[in-house]
Amino acid sequence: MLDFMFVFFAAIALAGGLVMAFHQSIVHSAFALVAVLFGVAGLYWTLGADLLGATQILLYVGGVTILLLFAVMLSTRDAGRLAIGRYILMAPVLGLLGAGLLRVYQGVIAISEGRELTLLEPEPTSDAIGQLFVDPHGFLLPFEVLSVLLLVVLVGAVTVARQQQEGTPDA
Amino acid sequence: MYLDYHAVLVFLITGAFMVCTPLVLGMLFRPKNPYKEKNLPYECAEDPIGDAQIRFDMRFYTTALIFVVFDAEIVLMFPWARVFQSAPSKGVALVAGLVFTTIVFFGLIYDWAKGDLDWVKSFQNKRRVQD
Amino acid sequence: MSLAVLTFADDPIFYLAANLAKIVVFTHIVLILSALSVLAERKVSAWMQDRLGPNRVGPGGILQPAADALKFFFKEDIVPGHVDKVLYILAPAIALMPALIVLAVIPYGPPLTVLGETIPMVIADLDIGILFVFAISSLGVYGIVLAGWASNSKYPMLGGVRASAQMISYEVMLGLSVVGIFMSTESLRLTDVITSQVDGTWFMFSQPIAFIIFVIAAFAETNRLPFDLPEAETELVAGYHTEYSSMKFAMFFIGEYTAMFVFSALVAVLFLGGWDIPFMSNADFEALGNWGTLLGFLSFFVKCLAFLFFYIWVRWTIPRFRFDQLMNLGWKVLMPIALVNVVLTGVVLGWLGS
Repeated sequence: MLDFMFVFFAAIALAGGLVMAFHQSIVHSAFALVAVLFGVAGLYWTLGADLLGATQILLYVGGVTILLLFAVMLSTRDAGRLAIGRYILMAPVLGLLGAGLLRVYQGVIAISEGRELTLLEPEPTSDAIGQLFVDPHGFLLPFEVLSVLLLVVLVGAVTVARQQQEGTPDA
Repeated sequence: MYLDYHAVLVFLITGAFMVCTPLVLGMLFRPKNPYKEKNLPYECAEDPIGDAQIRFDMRFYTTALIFVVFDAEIVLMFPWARVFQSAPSKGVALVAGLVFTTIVFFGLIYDWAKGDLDWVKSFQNKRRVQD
Repeated sequence: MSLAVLTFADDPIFYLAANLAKIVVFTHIVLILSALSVLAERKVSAWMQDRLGPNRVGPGGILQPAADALKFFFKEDIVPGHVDKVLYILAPAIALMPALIVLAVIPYGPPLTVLGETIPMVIADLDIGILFVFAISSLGVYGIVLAGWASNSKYPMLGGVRASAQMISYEVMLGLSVVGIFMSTESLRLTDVITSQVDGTWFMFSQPIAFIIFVIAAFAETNRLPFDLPEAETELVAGYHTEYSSMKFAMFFIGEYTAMFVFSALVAVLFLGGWDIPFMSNADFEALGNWGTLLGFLSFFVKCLAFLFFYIWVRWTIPRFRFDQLMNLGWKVLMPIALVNVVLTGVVLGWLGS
């Protein structure tokens, strides 16, 4: 059953990824990205990371992809269509990267070969994660640093957006 | 835990089925009689001019940017809120939350002061230039 | 947790049957209520304006939703030539699905006992229930923004863009306002929120600021008056669904009313005690057995319907906001108040606890 679920969500993510990469219209691509993110969230849930899965949907599907759609709609219609030819030059680089990744997977498989894997019913994770957030020996510092990061994003990204706004007449 | 998510998945499939059935089933019964006027964009009987997929204002993008940051903040606050009362040291938990909220709040205040939260900013700017 | 797993292993057929029964019953109750609330909307509006309202189909117009549904079913489905076909056809389904999926985590009543097995009256009692609700309801914006974009027409485009900015803004207030509740319940599970209210006070009274912010944000999220800018009839014809007809239009309509029901249910669960009846404790509900379930079930739906009535009432009471007023209210008024509410709750809880 678990294997089936894994394959099911992986297939959704892969199919979405293919559509995203090869579709001509960026809006369609962005929408295919939603399918990819959903597939990955499903994988998280299959592996027992429930909080991570929900966060993935809330932040990436409900937030970042909307931002992406806005960005597409901000650009003119011609920019909404990608000329794939320009990106074909990148193919060798991507191919090399892919080959490297395959090599890593090969290593992982070699290490785990012959070992028994026992799957336990996973427990909900939100309590443990919360406990780490308030533990000075756990992730208390990263939790606070995250807020600084969010502050930097809030200041930086908006500043960049503002400069572009002033650059365009009557946007 | 799997059992709950299994239920969600069953619900998702049932829901998708319930949504798609009336859409597909109706195709068998509906009349289909398109003509030129029906195929035009609806503009209260005016002839449409130009394309509808226009560039829209940058303010929408800025709003979305601020939204994503606060969305991330909320997601991080829920696990914290959950363990707030059962934390080993409630003082540490409270200070952690306070510092976290305050730092992000500074961001809101910055955007507020810089006018990124003003919806009618461009109009005000124009007036300022004219004065 | 482990108990449920054992039940599944022991009797998967029973579990699946119970689950499917719950799904079918609850979704149909909600969809029928949504259809009826369309009628209620027209009836209540009529009463408030001293008119009769629909009264031709069936006694007192009660069969009006059925007549509407049949009409939607048999009308021509126009797909204009200028639209983006794939997204145009997908958008109505995407608009309805999120509202429907949120129903999976809403607890409708205390657990029911059938054949010696305890069946919780919630389809999936997730440990991160509230985050799941926010995650899924944040997808509601897709249906609208895609409908607006795919229609390739000016009114839908403007409506879609407005709707998306409004919905994402108020999502922040929605999430931030309820953090205080989960600080005092020590659990993100929606059933735990209810049981803590059954034995304690309703969060409407212990978290009044959060209650007001949540209700305002709920109105904005469902695009209802006074925040119905995405479909302001006087300016945008019908907003994002101007180009839709037949069953696709109906999908947006049902989606809107289902979302209204979902937010009513969330208000009931988070602030009005869910299935709680004043002066009854968890032990009382348990002692009453299945009758307790029935009572709780009725109490929950009465609260939902009361809030739905409130939705319609507000519609004829408050005029529409302007878009800059809407954004200012969200970011400059509700947002700081919600943050202060979180801090206040933290200080009070920390002070009381030590």
